[in-house]
Amino acid sequence: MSAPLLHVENLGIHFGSGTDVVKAVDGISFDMQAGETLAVVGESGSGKSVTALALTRLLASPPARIISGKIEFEGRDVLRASEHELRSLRGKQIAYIFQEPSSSLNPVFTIGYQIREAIELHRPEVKDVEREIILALDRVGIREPAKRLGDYPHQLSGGMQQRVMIAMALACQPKLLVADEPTTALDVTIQKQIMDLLKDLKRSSNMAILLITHNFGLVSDFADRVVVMFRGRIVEAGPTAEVLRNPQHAYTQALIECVPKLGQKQHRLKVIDYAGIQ
Amino acid sequence: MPESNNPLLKVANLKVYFPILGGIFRHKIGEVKAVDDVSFSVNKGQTVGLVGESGSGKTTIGRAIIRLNEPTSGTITYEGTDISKLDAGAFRPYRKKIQIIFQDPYNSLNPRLSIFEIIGEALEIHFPKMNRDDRRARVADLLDKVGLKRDHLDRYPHEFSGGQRQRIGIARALAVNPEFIVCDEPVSALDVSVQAQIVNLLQDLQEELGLTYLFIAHDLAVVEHISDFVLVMNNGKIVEAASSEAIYENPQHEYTRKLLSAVPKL
Repeated sequence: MSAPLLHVENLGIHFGSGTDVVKAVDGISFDMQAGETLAVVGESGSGKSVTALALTRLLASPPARIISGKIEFEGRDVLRASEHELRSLRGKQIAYIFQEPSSSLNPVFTIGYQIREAIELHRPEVKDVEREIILALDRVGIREPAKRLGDYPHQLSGGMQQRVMIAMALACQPKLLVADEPTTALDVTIQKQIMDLLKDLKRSSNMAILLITHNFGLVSDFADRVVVMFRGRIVEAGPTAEVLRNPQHAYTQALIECVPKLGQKQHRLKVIDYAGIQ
Repeated sequence: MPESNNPLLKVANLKVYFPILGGIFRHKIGEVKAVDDVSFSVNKGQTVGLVGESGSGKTTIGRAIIRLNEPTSGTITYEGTDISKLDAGAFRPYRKKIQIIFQDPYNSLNPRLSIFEIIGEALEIHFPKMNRDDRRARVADLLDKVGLKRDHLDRYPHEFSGGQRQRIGIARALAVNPEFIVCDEPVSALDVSVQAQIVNLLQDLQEELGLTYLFIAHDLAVVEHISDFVLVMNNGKIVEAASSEAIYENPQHEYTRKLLSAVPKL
């Protein structure tokens, strides 16, 4: 197999020190190939978002400390990279979309301006920036994109704002897109639209996507492989279909079962029995 | 809807319009028909689910019932009395009977008040004769009931997780012994695993206390699970009303089918 796009080995991230230390990420390892989609599934506090931010060293330190392990992107050591190297990594190689689109966009600039900023910074070779912005908005399904350039974020709905975030991320042509709970703040109908959009992008480009979510329901027809995190550790990893069909770890089973399913009305929803999980 | 002769709550031809202001004198130049001629009823001990997308008007209905929004026209009848036109004093007894749980457990709790103060405030208003020790005992009992620890009494909201805060919101609603609770997207901001815990808690409390719920959400899977009867809303109107089984097995309206297809399949 060729060298992986992303290689994470024995990564450990602590918050605080002494007796108050919190082991947010406790020795995790995983690889991602170019063009692959990987889902990291876990509850709030499992360390999944902290892992995502660590990939480009976006964690504020202090309080966070990366205490062990290796992160390699295309063979380059991220943990030893200079500030200058990190700047070329962030956005250009690894782009992010976050949970709350309304707080990720700057409210005082138009969306055209914000996408222009990203392109001019990361792709100085582009001559016709305006055309590139319109193409980016068009790709994420925004109708009549040329007329939308002067819109401010508050003029758009949550789903449209998230499309703009994705357009901005894609405009830099990253090799890896990290989608950190991209639909959690959205209605289920808009969630479906955004997930369908990500699916289309996955098919039409060779971009790898790291999807971070608490909802196993989103994973099934999206990710090639899935990693399940619980209290800073990876408790299970494997091809998505296999993990869903035959989950090995009690926590994975519980996480799958607690998703309410249409047409299978139970008296009570299954909840996670934390006492029974190692 | 299974017709009952005397439903606990009956909403008839409810309209809630919001004015659009414009021009230099901010006069009315149009209106948003948030709720446009909606009728339904809720029987005692039942859960009626109200499902629809953002902007469909479902939250406005919930808020109109507890008079956080003033209805433009129509009636809201509770135990035979039209409560939609009562003045503040006459409505006060109904504030005790009808409570609400909000969507966002982060913004609906005052960060500067302790849990005792947050839950105790309602007791102070509605049970003025209760002394402080009795109030503390009552709040501790409520924490117990919603699955929190009795000694969490003097903590502040920031010390709790999202799911725990929603439990505090539920305890606050229960404090005045309500009969009817408007649950306005109570699980939408929570992890699916925590969502399951809160949904189960609401069902347990319903069985124990005989509560009646109007359960508002955008996720049809959750609504189908908890509700006896489901109302589907789109653009201020109810487009389909049926038992939760029928909604899933035989959806009539195109919009209902769209909501069904949006639910992630495992």
